[in-house]
Amino acid sequence: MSRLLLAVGFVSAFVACDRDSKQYFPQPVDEYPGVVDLGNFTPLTASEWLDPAARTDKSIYAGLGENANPGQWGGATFTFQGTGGTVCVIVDPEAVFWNTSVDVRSPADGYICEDNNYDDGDLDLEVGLSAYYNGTPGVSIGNFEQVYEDSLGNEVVFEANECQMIGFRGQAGAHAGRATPEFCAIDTSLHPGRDYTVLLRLWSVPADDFVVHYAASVVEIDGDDCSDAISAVAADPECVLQNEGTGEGFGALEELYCNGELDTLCTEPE
Amino acid sequence: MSPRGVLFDMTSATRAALLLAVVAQACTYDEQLPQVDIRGTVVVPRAAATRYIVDDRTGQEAEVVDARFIGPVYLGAYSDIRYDLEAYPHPATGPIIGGELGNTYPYGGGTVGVFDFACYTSTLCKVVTGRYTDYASLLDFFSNTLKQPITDEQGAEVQSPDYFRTSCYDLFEYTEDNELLFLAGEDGLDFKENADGDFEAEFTMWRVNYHAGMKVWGWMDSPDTNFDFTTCDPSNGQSFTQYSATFTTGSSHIDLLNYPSNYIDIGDYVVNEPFELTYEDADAFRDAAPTFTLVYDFLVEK
Repeated sequence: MSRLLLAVGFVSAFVACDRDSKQYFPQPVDEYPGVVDLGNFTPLTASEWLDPAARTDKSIYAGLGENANPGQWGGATFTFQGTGGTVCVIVDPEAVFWNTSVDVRSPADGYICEDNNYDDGDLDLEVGLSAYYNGTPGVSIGNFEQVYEDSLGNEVVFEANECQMIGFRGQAGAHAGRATPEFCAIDTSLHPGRDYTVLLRLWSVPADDFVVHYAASVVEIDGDDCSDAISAVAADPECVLQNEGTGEGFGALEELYCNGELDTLCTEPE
Repeated sequence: MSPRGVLFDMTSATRAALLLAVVAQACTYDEQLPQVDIRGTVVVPRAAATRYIVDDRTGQEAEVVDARFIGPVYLGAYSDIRYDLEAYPHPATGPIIGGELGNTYPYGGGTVGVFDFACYTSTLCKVVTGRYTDYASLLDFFSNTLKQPITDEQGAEVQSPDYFRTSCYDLFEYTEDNELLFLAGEDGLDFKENADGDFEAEFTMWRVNYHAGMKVWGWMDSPDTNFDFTTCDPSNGQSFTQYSATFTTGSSHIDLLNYPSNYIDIGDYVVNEPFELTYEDADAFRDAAPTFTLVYDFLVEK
């Protein structure tokens, strides 16, 4: 009996060695650097935004890997010039939008489409005047914190990130969670023609390939709210910029979701 | 010396004296905190406490002078006060971010009177502490002076101080009047008429970050004709759910001192001449223990 136990323990030890959990430790990917500068971007006009083909053609579709320098932020930056009006800036990282079956808050019984838990990344959006951005585009990721010296020479650190998103509890400075699109309106009326920097801060990469693919855009809007521009083209922000993921079947699944057909397809009839 | 040590060789009187000296030493320890408490007197002009009200019986307009018209009086310590930013003196501001006004980055502040919820939603954002002695004073002012009787949640006019008290105790689960901040008592009223006919009150700005050269400035929020105040946020404050009624108790906006011009309106009184603190540092200020008088004499007209 003791020999049997010894043998079982020996086998168990080897099985345990088979799991190194490497997938939870993202590694840099050569083709997708962790710090990227995408250059200058021309905001879409309202008519370009409403045209699905133009919206896709003129928006950014790219991928971002882990920063090769451990402990340093990764992310992508691009600039646009102040239009003199208000613009809406939006980023949609892959993927997560059909995870009804794993949503613990409102699980759907009998949901048969298994979600891929390893294809979700996350990007956090920050936007401000380029003059206030303290990172080095393409080299290192910074933020929009600057120092104001008051009349008495005292230094006050202030936040010049103008992309204010409101959380569920009404608090400013919130960010959307895992792979959820983020968007905010930027009033450029005081600085027409000045450069604004958009920072897509890398929060997490998907565990399956360590690259977060995403779509991003800037569009001129009326008013001071992104909601109208988004609802004009899609019922769900996830569907504004489609095909941001590159995984097999991603596009087809997203199309089903955006057409409202996914739940019907994935739910077993009672 | 005994084998037990020197303390045991002392008389009890000596030991007591030594202990007292140690305790007294602790009392003189100077922490050299960079924050100071600034004390003084605010003066608001008589006009801030004056309204012209039509007498129901005679139909004639009569002048009414009453300290209960005085709204919350705000004080802030700033790096500078400028006269070219607004139509009234205003603190210097930092960079304008995203089209919003510049932040004034105050070093500290205080008030004489704050908004308090007087137990009925009909009083929301209308009652300031330090203005009313008791329930009767509040009922009288709203009914007879403002002609806006306080009503309970069923819409009935509140006429009895005892009913008022019962409602408050029931809502807040209190057992004594002194738990209600809006009841100041006879000795707790903030403002008193001075020899010039103006109204003055003492103030304390607690724990202000001291910077030599900083200036103390402020404004008084005057109520509008409906007795509403621009500095009160009705959606702020404590939340209550009473049967089918859900309401918040109202409170000051959270950024009054950072963005004063968002809230200063026509009819408010602003300090025209701030006082400047020229003491070298916080310790020098504490040693001098000065008191100041701040006059709210600039009427905002546009």
